[in-house]
Amino acid sequence: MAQNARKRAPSNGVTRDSDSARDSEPRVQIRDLSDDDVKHLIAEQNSAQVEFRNWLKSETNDSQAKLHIPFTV
Amino acid sequence: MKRYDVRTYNLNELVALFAIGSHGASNSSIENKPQIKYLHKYINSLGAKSLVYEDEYIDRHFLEDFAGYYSRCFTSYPRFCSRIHVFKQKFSARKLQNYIRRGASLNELGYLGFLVVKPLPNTIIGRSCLARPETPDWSGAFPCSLNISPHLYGMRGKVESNPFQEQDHEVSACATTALWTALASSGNLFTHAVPSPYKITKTAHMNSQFEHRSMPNDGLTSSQIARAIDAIELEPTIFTATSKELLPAGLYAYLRGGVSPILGFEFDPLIADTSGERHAVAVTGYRLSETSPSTTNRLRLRSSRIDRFYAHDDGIGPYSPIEFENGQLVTSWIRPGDPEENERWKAKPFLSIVPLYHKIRTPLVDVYNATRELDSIFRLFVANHDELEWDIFLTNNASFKKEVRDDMPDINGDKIDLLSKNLPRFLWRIICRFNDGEPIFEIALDATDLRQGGQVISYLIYNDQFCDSIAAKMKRFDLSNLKASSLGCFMRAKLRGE
Repeated sequence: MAQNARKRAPSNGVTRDSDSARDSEPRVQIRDLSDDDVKHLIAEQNSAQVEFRNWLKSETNDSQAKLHIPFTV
Repeated sequence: MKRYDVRTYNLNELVALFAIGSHGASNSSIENKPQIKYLHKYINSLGAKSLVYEDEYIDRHFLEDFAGYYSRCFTSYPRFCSRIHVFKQKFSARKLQNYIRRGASLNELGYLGFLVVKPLPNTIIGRSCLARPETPDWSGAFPCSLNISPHLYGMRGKVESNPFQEQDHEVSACATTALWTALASSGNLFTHAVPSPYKITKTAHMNSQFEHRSMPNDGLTSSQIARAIDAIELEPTIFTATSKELLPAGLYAYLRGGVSPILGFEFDPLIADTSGERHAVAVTGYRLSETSPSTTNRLRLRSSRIDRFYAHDDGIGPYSPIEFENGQLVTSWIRPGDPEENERWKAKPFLSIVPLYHKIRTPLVDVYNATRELDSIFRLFVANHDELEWDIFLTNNASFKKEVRDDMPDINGDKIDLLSKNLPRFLWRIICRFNDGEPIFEIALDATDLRQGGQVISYLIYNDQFCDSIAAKMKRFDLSNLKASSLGCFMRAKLRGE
């Protein structure tokens, strides 16, 4: 089923060079993790998520000052 | 009997026709306009061979500007415009007459659009609709372009374009003109009348604390732009991101939804005569590169592949390129005093304003946050996580169904279910892809839902192997400590197969 999906899926903008070579390899490499590994990675991801939220907030922070400067050129 | 004015395309003929239609502008002053220089290059790139001059043309937008402003001058300015039609084929006046007799389509002559000439002394380029740039389908996209259907002497034609005009420094400056272009797209998408530049400027100044006189117009502030958008009952959505990562993401997300965002930027302050001056343009297209974006610890977005935006810039022309270089924008403006005329003027992005239908409620920032929360699942379990990218954009019911039907694989017969499903008018699509473009799955959110609502309205699997593996891992481990917003939780539940 997954192979059919690959054959029918459009590249949607990006050219793929070798479908046949790729079809022989699995595209997804799933990690073999223990419970402890997962606990550790969850902690990592939680802090990365907080960092991402803060970055997004700082990037999209509405500056009132910007609203009153004219575009004049 | 009518004499048809057909000319072979070249710069001199283009300038001559603009001079005829203007109110006394000289050929040399027209030739030196940056917009004319750009238009000549652009029309050449489309492969134009012939021009037809239509000497009396009523342009609704100019007529409204005329009624509100020009008609009350002591000097008598005409109210009729003229129009220059551009064709890919070379033909004579006699041949044109034959075409008119048999009621041919303008497209049989390779129609490339038209330029309206305003009967003014200097700012003469009126509502002009030229064919969008020819780019390979995979790389260039102009999702907010309109199907324009002009007619000439009884012959109809079609051209895919966005309207352009230059600012006239009377009823409009750059911001009014950029908004006028953007509202042409939103008018088509959200069904509202498109106001003329005069109306936009007047509305922007209405009910506001006095800032400066409205006309002759020297520019609008962001809050005035927002007021003009609000007056036609759209929501002015301000996006302040300016980084190389997030600015293209925001522009792309709305462009794909058929909306033309207004981009404001500040010119390089090193240029003495316009130190720190700000300019606004309407973004009308983008170009994707084949190169995968560099690894990021934040969120790998498909929009990071964009290496160029196209903008309707009233100081330059339609579809003028804007690129990113070291955190700055490289505009199509030529640096003043550059004798070679090839040094492009740099600018810093300032903010973007998007006119949105009021029922598009879910903010883009919420969608990014929830996607990052979904991404954290892959960061746990997928070793080649850096081969995945997220394609996030606004769409509407009809486009969503069409694109899923035509472009996406049908794995479990989900497509037919989706096509017959009752869906909201606007949706956010979140497509997870391999970095070669192959889709893995997608989640569609109801963009009109409450922020506290469920929002997830559809989940389509394009790669069973991938989705089954992830669902199995999500069931095997306790992920209750992996934090997420309510939207992130809804999206994760879909992935887990609930």
